[in-house]
Amino acid sequence: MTILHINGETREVDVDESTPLLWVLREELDLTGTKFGCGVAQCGACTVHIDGRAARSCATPLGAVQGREVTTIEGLGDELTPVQKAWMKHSVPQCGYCQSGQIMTAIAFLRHVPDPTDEQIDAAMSGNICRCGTYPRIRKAIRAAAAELRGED
Amino acid sequence: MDPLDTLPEPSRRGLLAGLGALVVAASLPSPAQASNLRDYAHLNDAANINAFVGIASDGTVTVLSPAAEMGQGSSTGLAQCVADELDAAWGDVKVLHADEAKAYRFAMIPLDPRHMTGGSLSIRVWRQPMREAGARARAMLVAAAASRWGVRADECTTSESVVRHPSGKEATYGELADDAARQKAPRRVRLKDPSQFTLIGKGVPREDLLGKVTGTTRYGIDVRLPGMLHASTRTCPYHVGKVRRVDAAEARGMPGVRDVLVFDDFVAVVADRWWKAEQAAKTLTITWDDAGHGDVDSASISASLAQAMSPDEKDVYVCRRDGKAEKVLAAASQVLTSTYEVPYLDHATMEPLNCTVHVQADRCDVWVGAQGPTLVVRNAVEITGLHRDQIHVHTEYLGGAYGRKGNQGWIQQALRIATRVDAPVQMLWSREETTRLGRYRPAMRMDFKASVDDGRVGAFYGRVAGDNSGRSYMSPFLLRLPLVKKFLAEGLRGADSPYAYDTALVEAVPRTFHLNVGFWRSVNQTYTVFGRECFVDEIAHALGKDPVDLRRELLSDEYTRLRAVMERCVAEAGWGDAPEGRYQGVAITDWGGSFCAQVVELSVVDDRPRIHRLTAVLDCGIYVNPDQVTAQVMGGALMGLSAALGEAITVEGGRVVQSNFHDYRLLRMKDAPVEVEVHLMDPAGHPPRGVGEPGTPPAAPALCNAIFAATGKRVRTLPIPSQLSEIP
Repeated sequence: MTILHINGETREVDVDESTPLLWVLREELDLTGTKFGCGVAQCGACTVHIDGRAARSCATPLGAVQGREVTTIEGLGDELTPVQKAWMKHSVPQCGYCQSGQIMTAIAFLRHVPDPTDEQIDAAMSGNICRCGTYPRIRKAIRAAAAELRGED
Repeated sequence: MDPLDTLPEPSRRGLLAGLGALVVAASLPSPAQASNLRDYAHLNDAANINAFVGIASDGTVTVLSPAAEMGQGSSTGLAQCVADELDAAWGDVKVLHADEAKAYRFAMIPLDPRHMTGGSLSIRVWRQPMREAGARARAMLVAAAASRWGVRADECTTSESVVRHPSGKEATYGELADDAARQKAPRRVRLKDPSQFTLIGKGVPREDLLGKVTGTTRYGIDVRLPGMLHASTRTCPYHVGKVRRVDAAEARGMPGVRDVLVFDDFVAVVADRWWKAEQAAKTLTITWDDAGHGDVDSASISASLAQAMSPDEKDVYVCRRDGKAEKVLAAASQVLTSTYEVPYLDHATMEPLNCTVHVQADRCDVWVGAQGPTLVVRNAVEITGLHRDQIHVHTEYLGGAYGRKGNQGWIQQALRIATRVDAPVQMLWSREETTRLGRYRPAMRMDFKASVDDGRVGAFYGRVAGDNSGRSYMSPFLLRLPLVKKFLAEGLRGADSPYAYDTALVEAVPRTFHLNVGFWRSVNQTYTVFGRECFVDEIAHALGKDPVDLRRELLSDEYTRLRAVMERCVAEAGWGDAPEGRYQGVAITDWGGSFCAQVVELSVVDDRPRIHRLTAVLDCGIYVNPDQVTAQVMGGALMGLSAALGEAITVEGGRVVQSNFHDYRLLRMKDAPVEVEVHLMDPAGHPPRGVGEPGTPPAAPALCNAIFAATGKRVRTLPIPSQLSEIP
């Protein structure tokens, strides 16, 4: 049994500690909002927060998150976060499959860089692939969310 | 006349008579909680179910969308059509994918009506039937209210899901739904004049927006059923080869593994979790029969295409002949000659291919994000031996498609697995399987010539060689037709090339290779428009003319709308007026009656193109949701840029080399245009045309033409080298 602190709860899971966190979320805990895209930390669809920092859950073994706080898209709270609101306002998603990961990356990024330059946004977000080509709208949404988070909205 | 304008009307049988069925259904115990099946899944069996819309007693307006939602926004657009004519409050509207049924079939393929999504057709085909369905529902709600109040129906008005009478009486749609369901569906309904539209033509938020920002939208990969098993596969990497020998001893003993199933062309590991199935699959040792293709590689494919350009080539189909281009070219003193070549491309949907199937004695259920539910039924009938009425196809949201999910090889595989598993089973391809088993845009070569004596184009010659992207969809009979062979040159043929040359000859030379091919967003225009628009740029340069000016000269008279689109685009982009150090390129296309022009503006930074602006203009005729049209043009253009900048499937020893996103390189944000502007032309009453695809073809040539403007180097082979100085 491994103890997992996830979305504010403590859960026990009975799987091998080498199992990637992604598959623990999707197959043991039914938290399917976190997506499988590549399995090798190349696309960012599986991004979650570990102790508040963005991490690729497909390349994070369960054993590595012992005693740490994991947050998935489902754990962002009942109220939409400013990033999610900005995503809606700027009508970002198309197929939407990558967007959980995009949003999780953006939230963690803005926590650490509240007033990002375009170059910083590009650098932070370039680990997350969007095949539908929503990048221009993601950029706008991040700028808008950053302004709101800084109270400039 | 476009054949699609004369599509058969969807079945009107019981249209809206089923309102009550939906109302009743809303109070039935839902299997959703137990299994996350949708709560309407069983309703399509009801004989009197309404095809497109239902209203529950709580006021929820359920729109059943015939179009699979893969990001293109059709589910939203079609719901707008229903809700506008219905006068429903947009907030009350919920959209569900319609399960496969006759009412949702249309004849994209003549004489073969199918429930399917593709060809940028959804709004074109369903806009009007959805409006009528909404208008019928409204008429029945009004009739119910009028009879309840003892007033005349024509005195009642509707808005925001409420029926009102001048006497002050009013009732919500939810309150009236039960009575409305008992009203007779009117035979004819009057549709709104466009000036009365409240939703059509407005950029209302997508119906799936909230689900997609909260991670709650259910894709095929998210289907969970009680007792469901998972399968991971290893499929013949030669595409057409077979399994010769399998050593599965280790896999069989691994934790969670229930079975290792060997088929003639793939091996499936079935386990209680996909991760375990995948770990076990990694231990399989499989010897493959390469079906004689083991020595094919990208170089041999390229050599075969070069050979197809020989004057001695016999398998040549003339696609366009205006005058005697050969003679003009032979006599010309100045002839421009160029070869353009493009590689295989993968669709690379972010959601790896998956399909969930439960085969039982008397029924088969398939949960899948696919573009063609009717084809799923046919595949299921063939593989399970069940009757078509026993097949139930449930369309889930698609994590991208771009044409990939029109082909159903992976669904056939899942069905074959499921016939040997005594439980629901979800087959999921790893990213590696998804990449290596694509239905690729084929590798193609185009040779062009143009005579440029006396400051003008005298003759144009083009020959296109390569595989037929549509071959897996066509019967052997169709594939023999010259018409089908000429499909290779789509975008260069007389009817679909916008340029009028004095004399022109265009030829197609089909070549078939063993790699699977398929329709990739915008199909053959992905290469023909790249070649055509770059070569026009070359001609302009040779003639010392501005590329836009030359297009103004060459555009046929009948392309007035494309001309207007180009003029608007160059005006919006500030053509010829780029800031210091920035360079522009232009490209245009006619995509089946939608017209798109794009200007790319870039600078060169560290020997790489930095795209500052992409300006696009689209004329698609009447549109429903401008915000989604804009998104499609933007996304389509970025997909074109992505392919040009980094994508290539290559072959070694008969197998695809690429396996994941480290070697199949998709556009990332740092390389995406800083600003993308999309302008839509006033529809001016023109009938609706495609939106999902026309944004793709102009992007690559506009980019390459801008690179030429910046560097003087002409990109004739895609993808563009990672350092621009490496362009030959």
